[in-house]
Amino acid sequence: MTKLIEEETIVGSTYRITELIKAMEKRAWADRSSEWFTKDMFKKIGIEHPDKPVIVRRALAIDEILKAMTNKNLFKGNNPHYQIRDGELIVGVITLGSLGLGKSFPIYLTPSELDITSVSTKSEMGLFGHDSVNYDVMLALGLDGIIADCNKELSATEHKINHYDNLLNYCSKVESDDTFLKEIHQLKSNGKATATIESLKEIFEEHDENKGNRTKAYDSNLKDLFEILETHIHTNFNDISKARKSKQEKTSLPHLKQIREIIAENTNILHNRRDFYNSVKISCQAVIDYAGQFSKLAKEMSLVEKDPIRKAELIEISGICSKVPAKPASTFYEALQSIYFFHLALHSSMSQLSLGRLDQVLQPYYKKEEHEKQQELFECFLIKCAERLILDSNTFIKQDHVDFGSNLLTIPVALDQWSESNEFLQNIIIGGQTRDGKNAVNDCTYLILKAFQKTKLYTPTLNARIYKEQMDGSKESNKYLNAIAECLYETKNGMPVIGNDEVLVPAMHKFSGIPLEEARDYVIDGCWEPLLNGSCDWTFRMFNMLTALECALNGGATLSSNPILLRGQKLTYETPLPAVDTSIDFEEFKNIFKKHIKFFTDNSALSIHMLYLVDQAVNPDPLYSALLKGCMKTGRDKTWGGADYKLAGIIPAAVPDTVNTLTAIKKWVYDKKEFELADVLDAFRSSYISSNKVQQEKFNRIKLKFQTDSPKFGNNDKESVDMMQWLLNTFYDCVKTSQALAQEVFLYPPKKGDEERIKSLRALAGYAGKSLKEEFGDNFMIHITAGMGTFELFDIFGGGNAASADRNKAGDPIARNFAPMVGTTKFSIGHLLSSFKTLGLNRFAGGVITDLCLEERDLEKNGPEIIKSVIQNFMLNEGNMMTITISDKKLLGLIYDLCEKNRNGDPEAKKELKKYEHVSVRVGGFQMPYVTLPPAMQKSYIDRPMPPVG
Amino acid sequence: MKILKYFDISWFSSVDGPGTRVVLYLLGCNLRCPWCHSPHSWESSSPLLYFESRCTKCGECVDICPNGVHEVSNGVHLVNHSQCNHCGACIEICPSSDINKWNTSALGFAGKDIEVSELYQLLKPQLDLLKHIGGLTVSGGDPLVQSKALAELLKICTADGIHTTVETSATLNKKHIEELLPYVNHWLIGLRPSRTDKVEDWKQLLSNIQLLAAHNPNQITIRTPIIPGYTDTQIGYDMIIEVMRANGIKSIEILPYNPYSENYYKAMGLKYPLEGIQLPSNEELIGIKGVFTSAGINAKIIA
Ligand code: SF4
Ligand code: SF4
Repeated sequence: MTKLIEEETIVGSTYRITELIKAMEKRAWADRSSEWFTKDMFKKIGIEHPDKPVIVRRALAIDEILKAMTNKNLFKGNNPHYQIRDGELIVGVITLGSLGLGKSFPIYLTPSELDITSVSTKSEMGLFGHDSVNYDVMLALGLDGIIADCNKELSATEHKINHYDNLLNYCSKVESDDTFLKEIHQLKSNGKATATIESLKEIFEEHDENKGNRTKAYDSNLKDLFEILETHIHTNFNDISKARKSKQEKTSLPHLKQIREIIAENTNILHNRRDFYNSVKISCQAVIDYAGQFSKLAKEMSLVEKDPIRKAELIEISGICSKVPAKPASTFYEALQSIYFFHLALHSSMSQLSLGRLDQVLQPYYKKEEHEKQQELFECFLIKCAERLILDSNTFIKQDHVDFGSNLLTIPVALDQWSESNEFLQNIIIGGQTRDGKNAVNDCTYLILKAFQKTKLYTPTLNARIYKEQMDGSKESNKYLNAIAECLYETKNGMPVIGNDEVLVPAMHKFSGIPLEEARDYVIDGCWEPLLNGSCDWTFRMFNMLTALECALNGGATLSSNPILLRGQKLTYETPLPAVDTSIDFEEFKNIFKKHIKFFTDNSALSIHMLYLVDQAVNPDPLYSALLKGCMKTGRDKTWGGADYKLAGIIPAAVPDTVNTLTAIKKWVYDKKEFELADVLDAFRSSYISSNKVQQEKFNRIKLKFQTDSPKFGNNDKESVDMMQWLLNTFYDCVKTSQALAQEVFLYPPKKGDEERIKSLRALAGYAGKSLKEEFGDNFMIHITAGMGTFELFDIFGGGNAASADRNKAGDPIARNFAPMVGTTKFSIGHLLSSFKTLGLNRFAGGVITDLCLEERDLEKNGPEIIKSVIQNFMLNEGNMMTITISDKKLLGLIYDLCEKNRNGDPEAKKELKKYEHVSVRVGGFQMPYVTLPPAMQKSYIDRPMPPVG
Repeated sequence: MKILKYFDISWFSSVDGPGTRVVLYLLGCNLRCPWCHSPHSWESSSPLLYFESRCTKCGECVDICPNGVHEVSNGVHLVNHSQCNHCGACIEICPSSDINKWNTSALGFAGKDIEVSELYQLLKPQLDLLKHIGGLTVSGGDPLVQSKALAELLKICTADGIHTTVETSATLNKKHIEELLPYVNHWLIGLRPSRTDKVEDWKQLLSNIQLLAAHNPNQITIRTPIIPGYTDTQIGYDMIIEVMRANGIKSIEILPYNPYSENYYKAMGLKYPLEGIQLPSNEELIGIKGVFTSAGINAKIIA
């Protein structure tokens, strides 16, 4: 890190790349607030088209922003988005914005919808991301191909709508059930080709052949209709009254009213399908138009370009932009430009999605003999993804575009906006295995690794999957592991993140019910969430395990020191107080704790199901749905049950903190009986501080014993590993039980006779809709995955907790992700990693990530070799996911001082700081340039001591 | 299984033998080199260590000590080390001390007795991690002092495929070396002729080197600390070269003296013997290295 800065900074594999990165960094240090769109630059879609369905309005908004991005007149005639920069080979400009700074986007909600967001707290500004695109379909079909599919589906849908309209029309004219049935019967037997008969016939035929692109719900509704009609057409009409009396009493005879309802409902589904395909068309066309504008721009520029080499490049760019993404890509260059256009469109239109398994997607376009050119192109591509960078944190406040509705979820999650100001939720995944279990490493895997190693960019996040064949010691496997280790060593910035296929694939398949092929195709997205490759829609819930423990210790209340709350903030069930009731032994206490954990997993699993429907009313995503597996086939948006899979993670934070506090309590209160639980709770509550001398001494002893003489997770000792096992088993059980409850209440149609009970349970939750399977068909399912970690929220989570075994003060941060608290590990990395071996982390498809931080000076001699050994050891110990960053405390200290000076407005310091913009650290969920972090967090990185964990 | 006494473990060393290694420091040494950087390893059980900077002068230790070792008055804490009989009572009561963590405590014993199999379990996770890129180095003190128990440990390591290195001054009877020989992959032999040497030690050392070299000279690396005024003489270098040549040993590591050992002498209530000594400069070290390389020896400076 130091060396790099001292020498002339040379990054990237060619001079062009060095120049592009320099130019990008120069922009990043400037005040970029004038580059943001303001809402008044856009048409008011929600006001202009109040009658259009929300999905169409969203598509129009996508079109609107892409048009604005290529509108020469905006930004006083110097639109920063409509430019091709010197030397660029991949073109297009993503709008500014990030998880922390928000986005600027046309308002597409109607005024009354906006009013409703005051209760849903989720508006059109909701920036979700956390899904991963599989670009192979787009590269193969081109967006024209997808639009053609839409057209086909649209005409079929229109056709059906006509039939239904006819039928409905007919039904509404008939007066009674009997005449209706009689007439149907007669029409059928006469074979009279009236429009109604035609409609019926066609629908019948389709039903018979069981063909067409219908969802299950659509199928089952049709089936009902036809069974009803068929029964009566084929039954001797005169027998109907008889039949009514005998068997039909149970199943009830068709009534005109029912038939009308079914027809209306199916018509409704068809209308939604029509809206969906129309929206996909609009959005895809918007991307094609956008590319066309860049083709035009490149052409214009080529006409005045003097340098013949650049001129030729611009002409080539113009040609490529006029071809992709509309048409299928036929070269590596076209494939990259095509992907970038779509990625850019998603990221400029509120959908911050990932790039997926690019080595798999790009390999068919890769040519060995053009390796160097392709290497350079890929680095150009990375720079385009990274160029939203804002490095001067003094300008963050001015660029805060987050509003109350920018929630990830329907439940507000407080975010650490500052730390997330350069988090764009873009990931690339390489390596691992293919869908059929073969080694997936290919030429592009190495090309991508090298590009990261050379450019040292910290976004997108690179993730490398490793599976058993890459661990078998063969030449191939060593080549791959060496390349990963070298990249980690050279960049120092945690790229790539490691995903263990041997743990994550079974977690997805065996423990979360995902088919094996899909599981093998997993990707990593967002911060580090394992998802499926272009075939799933993901959501998550988090809770704080330490809070659950406080509730267990304190009868459902936190250990707050605020006297007006009496016992504490009440969060969960009231349970017996173990500090008062001495008959409660430790085993019994664990049972109590389990109840509180279940409270939080219930809350998570239930709300995941109950609130599934909210998104479709506010954040439909026709552009992503164009490529998301399942949507085009079913004619349903991803927010409307369209995706093949729905995944939802339940992720508790503070799991290592909880284990350490539990083991300390077990040892000193229950086993050795050295302290009273009440005293321990008082110590926690009051941050180990008392004005009473005797009590203070007691607190000191508790603190000493808890901090220095208690088992701590990560040291591979039996007590803490056993406790961790118990906690993970318990948590996992709770997730499964909660999932079953959520499914019973919201997913499945109620069993016969159970309707009233389920209805009232739903009412209790404030839910009046149908069960999700009735709504979306029999195949609908939300796969709940369990994970553990904090992401970047370790400060925010800890803010709500009293002191604990490892934390001196109330409000102190909790341990990061699944790594033990800094300073609690006595031994080495080997001990931490071997603590994982028996935990069964292969049950946790929601991801369990451990962040290791190695000290640069320890790696001076055998850096890559040591890193490779750490990775192998992690794999053998069945770890789940891991990051390895390399830091140099001295250097961080120096940068911190410069940042302090810059915060006080010292221009010299700012100049000096620019040397250090490459230095980045892992912030729980992503890499951040160290210079951009909040001061307190910056400090915490300087203090991270060896042994090198946390 | 036998008991080993150790006083420290370092988990990630790149300077103590081939590759990246765990280093186990054993108690007990037959020599008393004035430049020793771990005087607390000399005896087979650790002396009481007192680190002034971690002591709050609270006085708790004063009354608890049956032998009146501690005296605290006016913020000054005097420790009468010679009276201590290692009962541990003062460590137990001291609020700034943890019996298990002497290197972060005000009072402590640097040593720990541990059964060999238990010790192996403690080391194993990191040994597994370093298995293919290093291994275990046993240092001290002088590991030969506990050769019987150590042989047990090294035997387990060898059976698990873990590379082993022993660092010793090889001045004890050859039977200690013979005990270890089957389980040691590499030897780091301290060879630093100095005016303080005893003749019998030197003789023993030479015959031990012969014994090891007869076994395999490539498994030996000579280590020479450069202590100004003690080991930095041309005569000394010539002697080393001669011994290496005679035994076919090809590599030497040159170690500048460690200026951070004063702390331990103070903690034991001893006078620091190298008070005021100058660190050898980089140029001097390079010059010394040159002496060896021009004699055809692979020389490396370990900083
Ligand atoms: S050594 Fe410990 S007990 Fe004795 S005075 Fe110092 S802090 Fe107090
Ligand atoms: S170890 Fe025992 S004898 Fe020695 S100083 Fe402490 S209390 Fe006194």
